[in-house]
Amino acid sequence: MKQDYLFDKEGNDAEVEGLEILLSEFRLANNLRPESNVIEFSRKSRSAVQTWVFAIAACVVLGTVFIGVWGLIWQGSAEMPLDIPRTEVQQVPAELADVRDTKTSLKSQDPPWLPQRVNSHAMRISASQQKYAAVDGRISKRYLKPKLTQEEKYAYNQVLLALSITSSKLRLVQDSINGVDQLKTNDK
Amino acid sequence: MGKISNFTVKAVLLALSAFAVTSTSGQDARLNLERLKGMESRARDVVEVNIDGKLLDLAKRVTVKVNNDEAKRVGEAINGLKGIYVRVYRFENENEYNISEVDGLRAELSGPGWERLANVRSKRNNQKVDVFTMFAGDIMSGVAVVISEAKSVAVVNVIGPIDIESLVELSGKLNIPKIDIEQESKSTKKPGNEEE
Repeated sequence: MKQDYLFDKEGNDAEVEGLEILLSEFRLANNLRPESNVIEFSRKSRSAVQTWVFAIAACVVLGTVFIGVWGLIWQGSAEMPLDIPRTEVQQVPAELADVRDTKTSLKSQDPPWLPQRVNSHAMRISASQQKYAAVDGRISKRYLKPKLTQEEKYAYNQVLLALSITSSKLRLVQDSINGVDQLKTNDK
Repeated sequence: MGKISNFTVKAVLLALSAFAVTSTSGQDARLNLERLKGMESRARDVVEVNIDGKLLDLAKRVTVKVNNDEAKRVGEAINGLKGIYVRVYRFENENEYNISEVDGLRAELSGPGWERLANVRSKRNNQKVDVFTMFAGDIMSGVAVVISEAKSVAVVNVIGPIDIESLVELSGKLNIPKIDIEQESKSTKKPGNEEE
């Protein structure tokens, strides 16, 4: 076959012409496009207002869920001290009160303003911790202590009592034995 | 038929003896402290502590929950224990209790299974100190401390493996009050019950 006839209809190609005659009945008439079976729906465009409404609603829901979970975690990890006495609010130490006089610095090459900023930060942390320590007579820290039930506290205290008595008696035995050994060495 | 019944009887006896041995092996380390009940009415101060079963499990749980040095030390001390029993009796005057009750306890500790670890006698305050241990193979299964003086009697019974040296080190180092029974005989009486 001559490729020219297939692409440009230039020249003669008897074989291709014979095939065209045979397949002429299937040729598209008038280059009409066949009817499509696809049903097209008109696309409704969502308004910008609706989009914003959905976005805000989603944010509100997610925020509520997050706050609820965070509240549960914070409440669950809130500490309950065993038998911690009331503490008094301590004044900020004098050495931390006056930041400008502080001469300590992390590095000798640091700019002059750096130690003061570090120490002022330390002073704020120290003061807040001490103030926090006097709330309701309980010691609370950022790392909260686990919550213990009454039964657990009672059991722990009983074990402390038992261990204290046991250790003191064993200490007494040890001291008695050491005392006897010392007497023997003195006699020798 | 005779041979079968003979064999059955022997098998039953063997099973019963094996059951008795296994069921009582863990309980041998526990002392009968009920014999000291008579001292309660005559003592000025009484301290009675019984920790086992659920109470001990609760305490172990607390040592895991509370993340500090004291809880860790306590947790290591009670790890593996099955029970802790303490009796402390203090009397107003000397020789107010029946010494035979304490000697009965010492006789029980002289029985099979117990080994005397320490024995201290002092004429000062008629002090008698005895420490006994029980081993199941190579594993310590119990410790008993019996201390009797003119004005006090103390008995400690620990069931399970315990490190005696580390327990001695615990005395007075943590938030556990240090108790020294000797101080009462030397100085004036301290206010309140210092064990509690």
